[in-house]
Amino acid sequence: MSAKRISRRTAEQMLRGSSAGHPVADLLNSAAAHGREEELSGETEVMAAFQAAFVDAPALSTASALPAPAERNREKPSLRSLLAKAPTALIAGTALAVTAVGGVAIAANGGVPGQKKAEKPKASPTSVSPPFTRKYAPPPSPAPVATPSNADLCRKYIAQGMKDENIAPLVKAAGGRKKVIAFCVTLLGADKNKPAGQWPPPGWPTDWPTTWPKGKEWPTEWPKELPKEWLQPHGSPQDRKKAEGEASAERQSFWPQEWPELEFWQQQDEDRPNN
Amino acid sequence: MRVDRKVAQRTPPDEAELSACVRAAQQGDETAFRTVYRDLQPRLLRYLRALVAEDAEDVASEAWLQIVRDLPSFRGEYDGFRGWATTIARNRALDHVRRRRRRPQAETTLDELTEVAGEHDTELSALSGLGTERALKMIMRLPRDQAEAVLLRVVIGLDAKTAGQVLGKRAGAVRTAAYRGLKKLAAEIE
Repeated sequence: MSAKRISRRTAEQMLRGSSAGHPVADLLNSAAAHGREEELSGETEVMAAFQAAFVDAPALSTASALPAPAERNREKPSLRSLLAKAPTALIAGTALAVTAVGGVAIAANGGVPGQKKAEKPKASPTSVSPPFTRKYAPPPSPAPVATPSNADLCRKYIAQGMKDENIAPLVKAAGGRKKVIAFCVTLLGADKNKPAGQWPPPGWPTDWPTTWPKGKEWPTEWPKELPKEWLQPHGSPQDRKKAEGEASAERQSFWPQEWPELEFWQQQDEDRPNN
Repeated sequence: MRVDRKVAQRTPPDEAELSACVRAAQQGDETAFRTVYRDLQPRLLRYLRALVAEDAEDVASEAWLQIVRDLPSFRGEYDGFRGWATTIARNRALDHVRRRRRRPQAETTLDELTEVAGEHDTELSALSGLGTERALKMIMRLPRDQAEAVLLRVVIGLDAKTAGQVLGKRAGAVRTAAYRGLKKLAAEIE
């Protein structure tokens, strides 16, 4: 077979490892050959980091171990530097690795690419970590944080419409773009500046649920998205005015009767010196 | 994530076992994590060498740190884990390149490469006589997109679709880049 003549089909076979005898296929097989011991030189450190993250040493939790973004730009984080901050974790990890070496030989255990057999994930004498021992918080759930910034953002979002990039904090706080409006209703419902009367509407939750039922829309009667024209009118001043008029009409059609008039929130903004 | 049948044949036959290892590692099983590490680390290291040359080990360490940190959030089987971990490693490598503002230079000529292979390489690939180091260096001399496509497909063991996800390209673009790379390799060998 001529080395220069490689059809797409032959190339695909080579890439999938199902073609042999061609010089290029042999080259690829060489590139994908078994891992070598020197390629696993960082194993001890990685295992120590794993143990520190999953088993113990809160001081080496990822939140404290990873440098801040600004710091990361200045100094490349390395396992060595991180482990230097947690000597107990390093000792434990090293001890683990040393004890593991007795029963694990890289060339023989089949744990590198192309090897026949891998270790089974069974608990072993060297495995001292019980399952589910990692000390990390459960996945963040949307929770109302009645900070002025979120409340202000909600008011602006609802009253004026905001560009997408400006509502990112609300999307994050609400747990999704479609929940922003519901989030704001709940958040503003607990606002000390809320209007008098029936507020929030009867039956409306007073807290943002900490556990959101998977796949459940909440609340079902609330609009899921604001009109795009409402968020960011484009075009000439005349077009924008027209779009704003249409958006306003559309907004009113979405608006629950219990919701205060937009002027209320606009007045709130004007009354706030920092806004 | 779709499993490439042929790739699965190239990779160790205990793919399901490695998937179980990933799940066990997510629950804190160190032995399982070690198995995963030993399978993946040599692959990542070889791929990273094409991106950051001699800094590959440092970048791999950074990548594993993030892999450990984000491990609980991973969902999927082992082939998906390979793609996920490779994406992390690639991102760390790109960060590294941005920091250093330089790219690895493949200065080695083909003639020089023929002298690189050591004895252990010869043992590893007695079939072809091409050592692993020499093979990798030849691949690294390809244009970067072609080298990455070939390495992701061959060394990491990803199918075209998953490799495309790692690179942010379509599967067809990955196939084309890899095909061109193989043609160049063939021309050089001949």
